Amino acid sequence: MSSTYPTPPSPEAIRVSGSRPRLPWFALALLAPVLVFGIFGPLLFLHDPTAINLMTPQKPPVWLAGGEWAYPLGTDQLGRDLLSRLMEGARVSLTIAAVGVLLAAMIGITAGMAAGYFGGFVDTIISQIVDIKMSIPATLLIILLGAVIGGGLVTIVVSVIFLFWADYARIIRAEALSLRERGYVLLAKVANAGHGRILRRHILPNLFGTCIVLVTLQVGRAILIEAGISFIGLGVQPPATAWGMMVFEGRSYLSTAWWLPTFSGLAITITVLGTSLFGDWLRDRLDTRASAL
Amino acid sequence: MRPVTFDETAVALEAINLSVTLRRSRDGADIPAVNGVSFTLYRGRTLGIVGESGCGKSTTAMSLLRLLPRTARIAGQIRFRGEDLLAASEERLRAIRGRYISMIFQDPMVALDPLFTIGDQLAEPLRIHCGLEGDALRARQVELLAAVGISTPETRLTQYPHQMSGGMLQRIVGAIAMSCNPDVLIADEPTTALDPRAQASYLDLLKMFGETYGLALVMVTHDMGVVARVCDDVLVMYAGQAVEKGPVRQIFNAPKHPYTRALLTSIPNGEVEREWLPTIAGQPPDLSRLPPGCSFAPRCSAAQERCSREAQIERVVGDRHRARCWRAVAP
Amino acid sequence: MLSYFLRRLGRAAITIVAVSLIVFVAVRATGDPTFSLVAEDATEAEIAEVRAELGLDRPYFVQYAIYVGDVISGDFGTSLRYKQPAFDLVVQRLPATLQLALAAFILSTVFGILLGILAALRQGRWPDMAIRAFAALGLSAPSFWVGILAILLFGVMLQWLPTSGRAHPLSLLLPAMTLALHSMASIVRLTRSAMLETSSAEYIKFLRSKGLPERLIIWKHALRNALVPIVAILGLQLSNLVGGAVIIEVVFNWPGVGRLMIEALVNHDFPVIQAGVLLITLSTVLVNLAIDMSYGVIDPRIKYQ
Ligand SMILES: Nc1ncnc2c1ncn2[C@@H]1O[C@H](COP(=O)(O)OP(=O)(O)O)[C@@H](O)[C@H]1O
Ligand SMILES: [Mg+2]
Repeated sequence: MSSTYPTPPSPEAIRVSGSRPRLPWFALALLAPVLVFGIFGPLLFLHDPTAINLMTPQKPPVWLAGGEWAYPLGTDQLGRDLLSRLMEGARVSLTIAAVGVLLAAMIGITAGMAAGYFGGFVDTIISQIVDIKMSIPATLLIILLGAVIGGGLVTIVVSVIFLFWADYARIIRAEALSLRERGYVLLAKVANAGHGRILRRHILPNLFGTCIVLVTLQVGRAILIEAGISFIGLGVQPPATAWGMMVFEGRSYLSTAWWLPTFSGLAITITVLGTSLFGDWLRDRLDTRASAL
Repeated sequence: MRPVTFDETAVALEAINLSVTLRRSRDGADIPAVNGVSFTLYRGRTLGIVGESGCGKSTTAMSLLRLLPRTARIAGQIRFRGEDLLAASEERLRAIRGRYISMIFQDPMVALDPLFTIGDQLAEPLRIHCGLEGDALRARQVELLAAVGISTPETRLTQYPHQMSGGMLQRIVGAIAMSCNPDVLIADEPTTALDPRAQASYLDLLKMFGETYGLALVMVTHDMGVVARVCDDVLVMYAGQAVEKGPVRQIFNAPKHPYTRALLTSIPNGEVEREWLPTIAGQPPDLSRLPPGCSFAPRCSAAQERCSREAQIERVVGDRHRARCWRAVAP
Repeated sequence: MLSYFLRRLGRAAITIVAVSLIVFVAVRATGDPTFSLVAEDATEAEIAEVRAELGLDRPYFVQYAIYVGDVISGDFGTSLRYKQPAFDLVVQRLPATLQLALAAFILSTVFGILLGILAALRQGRWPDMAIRAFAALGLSAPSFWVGILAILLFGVMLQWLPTSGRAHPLSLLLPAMTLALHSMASIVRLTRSAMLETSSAEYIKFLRSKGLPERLIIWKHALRNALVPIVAILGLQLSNLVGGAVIIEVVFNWPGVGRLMIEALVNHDFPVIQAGVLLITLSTVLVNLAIDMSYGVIDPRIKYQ
C-alpha cells in the first residue's frame, strides 16, 4: 500500500539549525484551557449550559455594547451562556475524539502488525482493504453510516474508527515490516517463540513511540471529523452539545449574533492546532516514522 | 576530441593557505574542516588527496569551486588563470564551473537527475558553456559518450539513469565533466562505489584524460593503492591539515610522517580482497574539539611528550617534499 | 507501462466492486423494505409474494447480482420524496459537485505548489514562517467554519461576493476557495519539504558543479523531482475534496449532490443516498485513474517497475 501513496517526507524532516525548545510551550498554551475545561468543566460552569433563559437571548460578548460579565462570551438564541456551552462541548468533543481514536488505534495497529509481520496473503488482503478505504471519500462513508444507524454518539465514534484505522495500519505495517528483520526477532524465531509472543514482546514495544505520536496527531483530526459530522446533523442530539453542532446552530444567526459560530469554530481550530503542534513536537522528540501523517 | 600539447610545468591552479569552517547543523558548532592547506596543480599531472574518511578531503575539493553549504566560511586564496576564485562573483564562478573546472562525485547512482535522459543532462553544459545547438550538439554528445567508452551512444542518449549500471553511469558523469574540455578535473572518490573491475578501467580512463588533454587532475581517495596507480603528487590529509605532501615516488619510498607510513602499510597487496583495512588504531579526532599539539599524537605509535604540547609546522624534507612532524628531516 | 496501467485499472475495478458491496450491505441493513410496501394487516402469503417480487427470497449472491444488474442499467430505485428515479436526480446535480471539487482541486494544487516552493526558497525567513503558519491554520480550522466566516466577511459585512447558490458567475469563488483551503495546506507542506529534500540531493550538487544557472536547477530539476511525491497524493486530495464538497455545499447552498444527499438523509430517502454514494465514488475513482496515469509521464522509473 505504500506504493499507492508514497510516504511524504515530514515537513520537519529538514531542520533549521539551532536547538529546539525543550517543551512545546505554544502548543501547551493552546491546549491548556481546553484540557482544564474538558476535565473540570462542570466545576467551572458559570451557568448550566443547557439552561434556557428567554430573558437574555443573543447577548453579545462582554466587550461589546450590551454585553455583561455574567456572560463573558455572550449568549445564544435561547439565552444559554456561550462560554459554559463551549466548556461542555469541550468535554463531549474530547471524549468522542479520544474514544474513537483509541479504538481505531487498537484495530489499526493489530491489522498493521499482522500485515507487516506475517506478510504474504494476510498482507495482500489488509493492504487491499486499506487501499479501497483510501479511495472512497470519507464523507460518503459517514453519510452511508448515518443512513444505516442514524445520528448520535455511536455514529461519530464508529465513523472515526472507520476513517482512521487505515492510517495506523499503513504506518504500523511499514514499521513491523522492518522490525521483522531485526536480529532479536530472528533470534526469537530461531528459539521457537510463538508468533503471539514475538508480536507482544518484541514488535509491539518497539512501535510504542510511533503509536503515541499517531494517536496525538489523530485526536486533532478526530475533533475535525466530529465537528463535520455534527455539522451535517448526524452528531449528538440536543440538548447535548458539541462544538460542530454549535457552529451549525450559530450559522442561522450570522447577521445578528456572529459570536455564536465564530467562537465555537475558534475553539475547534485552537484545539486542533494545539494537538497537531504537540504531535509534531512528540514526533521529532521520539524520532519516529509517523511523519507520514 | 583531439590530444593537446601542453607544458608539464604550467601551473593550472594554486590553493594558498586554504581554510574552511563548516557549521554543524546538529548543535551549531564550528567545524574547522580544512586548516591552512596549500597545493599546486600542474597541467597533465595528477594530485592525489588522501586520508581517512572525515579528514576534510571532500571539503577541500568542494571549496575549489565554492560548492560548500551557505553557512561555510572559506579563507585563503585559490588562484586560477590569474584571478582569486574566493574573491570572484557568483556569476563568474558559474562561468568557470563545468567549463574550466569540473567535478566527479562518489556515487554515480545518485549523481544524475533520475527524471531526465542522459542526453538532456549531457546537453546542459554544452548549451550553456559552449553554445552548441542542433546537429553540432548532438554530434558532440555522441563523441563524448564514445570517448568514455560507451557503446551505442545514440541509444544511450535517450535513456534514463535507472536503465544503466553504476560503472556506465560513472563514465557518463565523466563525459559530462569533460564536455567542455576543462583545465582542471576534480574527482572525489570516483571509484569507491564501483566494483573492482570497473574501478581499474575507470582509473585508466581518467589517467588517459589527464595525459591526453593536459588536464590537471585531482584524485580524492582514501586508498593508497589508487594513489600508486594514477597520481604524480600526493597530499596526505589528517584532521583538516596537510600532514605530508610531495611527489609520489618520494613519499612512497621515504614517507616522513607517521600517519603516511600507517596509511602505506594498509595498501592491500595482490589477490587479497580490496577493502579498507584499518591498521591505525583509534578514531580521527572530533574536529570541533581538536587535541592540543599535533592532532595525530593520540594515535601515533611514536608519539612523545612534546608531540601533544607543540603544534607542528611544515618542515622541508626534500625538493617539493614537506611533512608536518618535528622528527621529519631531509634525507 | 502496460502492467502499471493494468494494475491501476484492476485496483479501480476492485474499489468499485467493494463500494457496491458496501452499499448493498448498507441497503440490507436499513431494514426489510417489504413492510413499507404491504398493508398493515397483510397475510403471510401476501408478504411472501411481495418478497418474491423484490427478489428478497433468493440467496444473497443472487440478490447482489440482481442489484448490480440494476445499478449498471442505471436503476437505483425511485426517490421516496421526489418520486423520480434517484439516478436522474443525482446525475442532474453531479455537474455542480464536480465543478466545485475540480475548481478547488485546481486552486489547491496550483497555489499549494507555488506557496510551498516560495516557503522552501525562503527557508527560515519571514515568507517561510508566514506560509507555514498559514498552512498550520488551514489544516486546523474546520472548512465549514471558514466558509461561515467567509460569508460573514464577504457577504454580510463587505457584501462583495455572492454567498449562496450557483446562479451568479462569481458564485463559485467563495465555496471553491473554502473547500480548497485544507487540501492546499497539505500540499504546501508536502511541496516545501519535498523541495528542501531534493535541493540537498547529490544530483543537485552535480548540476551546480556543471555551472548551471540557479533558476534552471530549481525550476527544472528540483521542482520536477519534488513533484513526484506531490502527484502521488493528488488522487487522495481529490477524494478528500469530493468528500469535503458535501459539507461546503450545505454551507453555501450549492445545488450539488452533497446537499441532495444531506436532505435525503433527513428524509430517509435511501435510494438517493445510494445513487449519490455510488456515482460520486465512481467519478472519483475514474479521475483518480487519470491522475495515476499521468504519474508515469512525470516519473520515467514507473514504466519499468
Ligand atoms: N555539511 C557539513 N556540515 C558540517 N560539517 C560537515 C559537513 N560536511 C562535512 N562535515 C564535517 O567536516 C569534516 C570533513 O568532512 P569531509 O570533507 O567530508 O571529509 P572526507 O571527504 O575526508 O571524508 C568531517 O568531520 C565532517 O563531519
Ligand atoms: Mg569525502
